[in-house]
Amino acid sequence: MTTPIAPNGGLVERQWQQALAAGPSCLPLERFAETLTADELAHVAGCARCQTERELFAAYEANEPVDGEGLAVEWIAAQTKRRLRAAHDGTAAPSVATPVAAPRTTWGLPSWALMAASVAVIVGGAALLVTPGSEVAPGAGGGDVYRAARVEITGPAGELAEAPAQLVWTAVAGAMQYEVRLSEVDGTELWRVTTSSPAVPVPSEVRARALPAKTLVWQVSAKDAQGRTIAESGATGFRVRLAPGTPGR
Amino acid sequence: MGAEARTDEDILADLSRAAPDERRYLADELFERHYARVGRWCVRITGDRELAADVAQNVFIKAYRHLDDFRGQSQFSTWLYTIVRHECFAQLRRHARDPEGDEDALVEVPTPDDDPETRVARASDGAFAQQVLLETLDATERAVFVLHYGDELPLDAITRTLGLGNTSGAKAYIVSARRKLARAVKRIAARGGRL
Repeated sequence: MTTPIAPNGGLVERQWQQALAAGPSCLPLERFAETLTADELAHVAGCARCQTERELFAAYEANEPVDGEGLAVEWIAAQTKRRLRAAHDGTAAPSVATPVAAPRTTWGLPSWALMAASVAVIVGGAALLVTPGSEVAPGAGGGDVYRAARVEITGPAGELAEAPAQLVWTAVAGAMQYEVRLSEVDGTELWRVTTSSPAVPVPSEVRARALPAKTLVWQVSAKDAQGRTIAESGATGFRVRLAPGTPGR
Repeated sequence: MGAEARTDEDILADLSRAAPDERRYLADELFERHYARVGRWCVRITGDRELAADVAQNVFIKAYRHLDDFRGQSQFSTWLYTIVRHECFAQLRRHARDPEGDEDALVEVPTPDDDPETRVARASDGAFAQQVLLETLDATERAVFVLHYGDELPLDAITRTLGLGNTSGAKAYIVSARRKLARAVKRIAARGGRL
């Protein structure tokens, strides 16, 4: 009577997908914060999806700390605050968690984030194209912000004749690994890599993203043996200068 | 009224009247109350501190952008939760893996209709499978099953999110759920497709 078939093979997939998906009668998430009506309770009693959503919401609302996550939560909260203030202050655009190959987010950035990105673009030759050691520090001017120790950037920074072959910084005592992120000025991440050396070669496909006159920004986080961030660089910008005679120069 | 006594809704009311320059300070004040809760949720879902910070940032950027759309039909924290849930699950889907422990296909739930067309239609609307789920699995098995197969959440994320304290976490529940469903399906088949 039963006909086990491949999970993606049609009937079986459809029946389970439909059973697990939210249907038109399912409650909006906001309803789980309220007292449900009799009709809503009746629906939930017969709906695995709504029961699950109710349980998830209850766990979120309870907000009960679990052993071992406290430090991570504190760090994330501090990072979030720091990044948003940096965006407010126009000192750096936030790095938006968008995968390299994914399309840009459809919702865009708020006015202050756009403003921050615009500032970064407009003053790219000044604010981001700085000499090593005077990077734009996210959160600068933000007052009560989280700061780890500093990773000193060696280079590249500023105007370059060609796309950089490697990124170099000064080793940090106690660092076991370094996480390097390369982004566009609006925060779109182009490349992320982890290395144990205070330098990393830039792959050719990443170098190809460094188009003339386009400012890119890179940052380094130093990690200890437990993977904790012990030092960070500021956001350092560089761009490949346009060749003489290039239209638009 | 002291700052401590202000509710989210008080701040939102001020925000709606604020000049553009003041808005970011009020948004700061409002969001600061929620950084830890959102961060906790993000790290439980993603299992990665750095990724969680990225997702949390996106949550607040999105919240800021849509603050004017918030009409107060729910509490602000509830509204924020809808964004958190969406962003976290979307982040996981970007890195989606195949469901774990899935060597065998999920079994088809037989239905009592002999007419093949009706049978396919009933199976497709999922109603019968839903009934089987509800009658066969306990609440935790059901939640794990829905999140793993419906939302493609990895089992370790489900373990953290639901706060499962048993040794093997969600894995134990998914194994148990599949076993129970397989037995239920055999029983239903033996009864000619009836529960």
